[in-house]
Amino acid sequence: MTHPIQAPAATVETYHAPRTLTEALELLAANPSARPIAGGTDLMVELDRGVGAANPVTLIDLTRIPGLDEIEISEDLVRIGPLVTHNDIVSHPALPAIALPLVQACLEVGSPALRNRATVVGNVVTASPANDSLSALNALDAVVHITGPSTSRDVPIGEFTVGVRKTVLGEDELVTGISIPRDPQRRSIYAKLGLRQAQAISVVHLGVSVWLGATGEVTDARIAIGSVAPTIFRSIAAEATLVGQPLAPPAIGAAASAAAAEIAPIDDLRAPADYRRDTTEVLIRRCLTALQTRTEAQLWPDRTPTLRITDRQPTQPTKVTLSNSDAITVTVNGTKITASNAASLNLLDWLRGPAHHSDPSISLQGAQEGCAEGECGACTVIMDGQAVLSCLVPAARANSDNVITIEGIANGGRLSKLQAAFVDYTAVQCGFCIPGFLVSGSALAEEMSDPSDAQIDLALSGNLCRCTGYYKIRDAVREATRSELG
Amino acid sequence: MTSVVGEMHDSGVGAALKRFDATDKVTGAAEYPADRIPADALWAKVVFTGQPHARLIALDTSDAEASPGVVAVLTAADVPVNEYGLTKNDQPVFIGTTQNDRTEVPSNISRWEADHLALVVAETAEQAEAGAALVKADWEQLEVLGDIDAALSSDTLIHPEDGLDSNRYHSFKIRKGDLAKGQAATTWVVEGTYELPYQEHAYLQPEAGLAYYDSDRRLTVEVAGQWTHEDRVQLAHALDLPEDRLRVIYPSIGGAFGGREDISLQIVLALAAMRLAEKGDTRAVGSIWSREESIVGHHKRHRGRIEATLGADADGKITFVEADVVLDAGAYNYTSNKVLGNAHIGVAGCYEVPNARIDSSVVYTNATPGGAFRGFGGPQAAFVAETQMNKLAELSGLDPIELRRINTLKNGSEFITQTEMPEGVSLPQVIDRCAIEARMGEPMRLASQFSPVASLAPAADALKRGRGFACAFKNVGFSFGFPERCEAEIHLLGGEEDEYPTSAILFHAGAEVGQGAHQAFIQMAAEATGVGSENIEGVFSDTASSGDSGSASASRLTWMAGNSIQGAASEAEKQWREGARPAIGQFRFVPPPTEYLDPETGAGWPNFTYGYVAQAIEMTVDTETGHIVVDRVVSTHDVGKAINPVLVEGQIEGAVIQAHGYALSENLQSKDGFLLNPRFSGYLIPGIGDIPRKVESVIMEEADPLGPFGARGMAEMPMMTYAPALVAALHDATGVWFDTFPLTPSRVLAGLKRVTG
Repeated sequence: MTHPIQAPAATVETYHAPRTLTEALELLAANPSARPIAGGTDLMVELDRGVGAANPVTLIDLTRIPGLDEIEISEDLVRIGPLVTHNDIVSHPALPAIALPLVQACLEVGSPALRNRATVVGNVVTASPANDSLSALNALDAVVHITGPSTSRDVPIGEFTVGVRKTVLGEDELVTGISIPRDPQRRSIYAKLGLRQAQAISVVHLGVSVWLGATGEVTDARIAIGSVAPTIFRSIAAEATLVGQPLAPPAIGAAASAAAAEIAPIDDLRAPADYRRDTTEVLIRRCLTALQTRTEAQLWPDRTPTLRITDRQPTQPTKVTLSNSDAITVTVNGTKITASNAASLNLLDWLRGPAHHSDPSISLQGAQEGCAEGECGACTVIMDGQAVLSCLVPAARANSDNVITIEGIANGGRLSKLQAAFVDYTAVQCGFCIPGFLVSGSALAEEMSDPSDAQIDLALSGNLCRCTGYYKIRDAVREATRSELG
Repeated sequence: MTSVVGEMHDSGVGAALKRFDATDKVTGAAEYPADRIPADALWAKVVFTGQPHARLIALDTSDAEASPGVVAVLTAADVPVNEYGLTKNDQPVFIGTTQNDRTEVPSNISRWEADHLALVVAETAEQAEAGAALVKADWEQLEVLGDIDAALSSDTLIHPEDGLDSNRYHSFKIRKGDLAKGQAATTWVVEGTYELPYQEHAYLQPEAGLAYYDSDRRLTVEVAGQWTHEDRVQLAHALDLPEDRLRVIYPSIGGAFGGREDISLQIVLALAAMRLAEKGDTRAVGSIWSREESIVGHHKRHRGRIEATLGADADGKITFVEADVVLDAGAYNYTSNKVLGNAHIGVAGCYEVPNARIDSSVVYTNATPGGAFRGFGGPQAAFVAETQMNKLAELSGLDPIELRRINTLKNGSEFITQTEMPEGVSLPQVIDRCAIEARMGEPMRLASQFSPVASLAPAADALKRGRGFACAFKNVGFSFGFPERCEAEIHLLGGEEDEYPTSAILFHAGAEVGQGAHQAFIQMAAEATGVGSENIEGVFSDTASSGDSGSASASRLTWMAGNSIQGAASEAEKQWREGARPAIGQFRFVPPPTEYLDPETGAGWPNFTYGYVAQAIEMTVDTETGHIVVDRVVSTHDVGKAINPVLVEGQIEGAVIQAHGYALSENLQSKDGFLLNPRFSGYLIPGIGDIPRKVESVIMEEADPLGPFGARGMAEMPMMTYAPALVAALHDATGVWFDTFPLTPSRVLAGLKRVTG
């Protein structure tokens, strides 16, 4: 008996880090209630809130399995491996030309640090109708590849999800990839409407594809709308309205109206049904107009900060299975730290608790918990060379890896250029959020010099501050990332 | 102002110095309350009742007590005086089945979803959480009065012990001039009913703290708060201990904004340390709230409803104001009676109003308590007063700036409370300066277009631009006769042969909540003593070493602390001249006394000084999606004297963005006594991509006759005028008035559709 928001967190009792897919499937077969985890950005929040049937929980972490994070582009397919992250998609040079809606959708998910961990397959498996990549993949006719203990099967994306957070995936199966057919005739775009510029759950999101004939008439169309039904809604009526018509205002308007008439959205905390219907029409009209004027890729940024300093190279831990009291060893700010409670803690709590207390000469309480759901960024650290939200990383995942926290940003006791700029610009008020800003900002500084204000804002879009209003923070980052010549 | 003792330097008042605490805050070395919990501490979990209105029939903690690692489960039976409150002891520390004769507040009724039922103390945080889930309670459900309308239409009383026949429990009146005469002289009449929303503080640091006995056997609490000595008063009351056996320390505080003015973990943690020590366990007890517990578990800016009528003659001169103000106090008073007073005297605006009838009241409900939040009732009132003025400008065809010029309060004006304004009313200058800086007389300059959809170009046909203006006052310091004071102590150090002190120590309890108060204190001490800032050590926010400072609230701290520091420096100077080493000066500053308002007429002198603000906002709206981008904000402030101009700018920018969130995106929703979106994923504060494209901070320095070095309070002012200025800008763009906010896209679109069909 407690207040619903005080439901106890699930306890992770066992953590497995298999090295092959076969091993993972065997573990899953042996532990039917185990939870496979990749980026963990949804699952870690669920565990913290005690959502889900099994408690204690066994985790099967797939992220140590080599080869699953590849994007393979063949003549007629793009195949996305199950560990491909949103930032892998966003920063892939060839994908905007092949699968524009997917890259556009991936950039709308969370913040850079979240996109460094969150996988596209994970987004699909979570199967919330608000999940951004779903409408994009739907408009691209994607196919979901599923592997079980004995068989494999392929399911069209439109049939994979069967309800709110419900899919056809069996307990003993894993999604091992998503394929998107390449089609040079297809022209596509994705659009999302939220209540904030970044880190916003979609009020409406949609993917639109059209195929045009020789005389400019629409020969085929896909219009897939999210957040308006329990699953992604394909507007057959809107598609039918377009086919055979020139892609021009009369047909565009008619298709947009047809889609709005066909959907039956609900009221929720973010918006009433009426608003969803009205803006679905507006977005479809604007998307089709962009396709008509061939401006669908016009706003895709040249270079998007990902807050990745090096390629992700997870090392192989010596121990594959950890129980909740086992110790892990992590190189934190250059010092090897061994401390216990690996499986049961997230990386933030492990750093602030067992690691911090492991040695009086070590101080690791600069990373802070502000939300425990990946919204505020106060816990941002560098792991495997990329900014991550440490509240959403199982501590065990950091075993034998390198982690840099705010305490590792200064150079041998001297403030880094960015730290000094924060002091000089009085970009600090209460300071609680500042370690997160500095870790994000330091990763940006490593990733690019002379970023534009838009790139700075994107890099810091996952860090919330309630005191400063952000202007002095932006000024400090701009100053510190200015190249010597620039 | 020159120093009283030492040589001149340039690190005093007016210097744009870097914050001395910044280095610790950029290296991760700064310690917030959670960082202070030692490795061997016990962990405590507060159990919320989860019952907006219910009677506790039975409480069973046996399973929790037997749970692994649990060392104690504390309940109402463990609390010596089971009640607390900042202005009224109306809230039980724990809801329980036992009641002693020390309190009249029935302890067996849960009136709020976050009332405390028990505290589970265990070896680890996880064990405390597991134990907390095993606390069992049987409840008899009572009628849940989820909002003002429910509370005013039901016979159910939330606090029957008050002896009132309604949940409306505190009221103010204003009867000024002759309403009928005013109405007779009226040409233009504006009427409106305004719904004011909640706002959540959303400080980044959730509540946390620890309690232990210090080396002098004082029961000590380290926590983030806003007023150490008041925390100690409430601890002493509930724990039935003398104040000198208690100690309150504030380490680094991760934001406050009014949200830490009331008690969170202080009493329950101290109680746990006390009861465990009685059993021989002297370990510190710590606790950290989750974000959800923080949002559910502390008060909000009041929601409410205000009906208002404004009359003006043919020239635009105000003839009368009528208003009915109702604020939702939630389950407990907190500071609602004081917040109401502020709304009450603000709802007629910052104008000369010859005739007025205003009735204001607060109502208990089973919703989250309303309480202090930057502006303290002022923003709600200013939204109404300024929207009414902007509607009057539209109705009369008069220029909104000119309308304000002819009505503004000025030196010698009679205030709505029928007394003369305190000297130094700079509002006319602030209005003029803002209008000039904002170029109100010229067409708006072009702004780059925006699209609410990142992948799509702006839809030029759907975009409309507009601009709006608003101005206001906000009191500085405690009001309505509340005893106001602030203490400081300065030690001047040096050898007997030194003509001037070489260093100094400042002792001050004032809370550094992020605003830069301690930096400002040091600079004011440097100015007052002549000792350079770098040679002044501050000993801050510890009841063991400082006298009472009053709270970090009401835009008062720099103002009050500055006066106390000047006084202490002056005392220390006398000692220095007499050869004392160290030369110690203590001073308790007391400003001119204020008055409670007459219960029938509202006459009185409620405040000893005010700060003044005017803002102009330019914005663009996408009329097909309802999304708004603010292109430019001109925020104009008379700060009297900027003690540190960069800190002042930081306060303006930060408050503007907090106001931007209040006006646009922060949409806290409540139903039947439960908050529906108590998370950062559902309660949307602005991110870096959401802020206005440009904020111009205009800092004026018209000295406050009573202010230290001429300074005025300023930290709340930008919060006052943003929402009405934005609503006026949206009206300028679309021709539609919005009498409620936040201006979420769906609300905006619905409003536009209502008018255009």
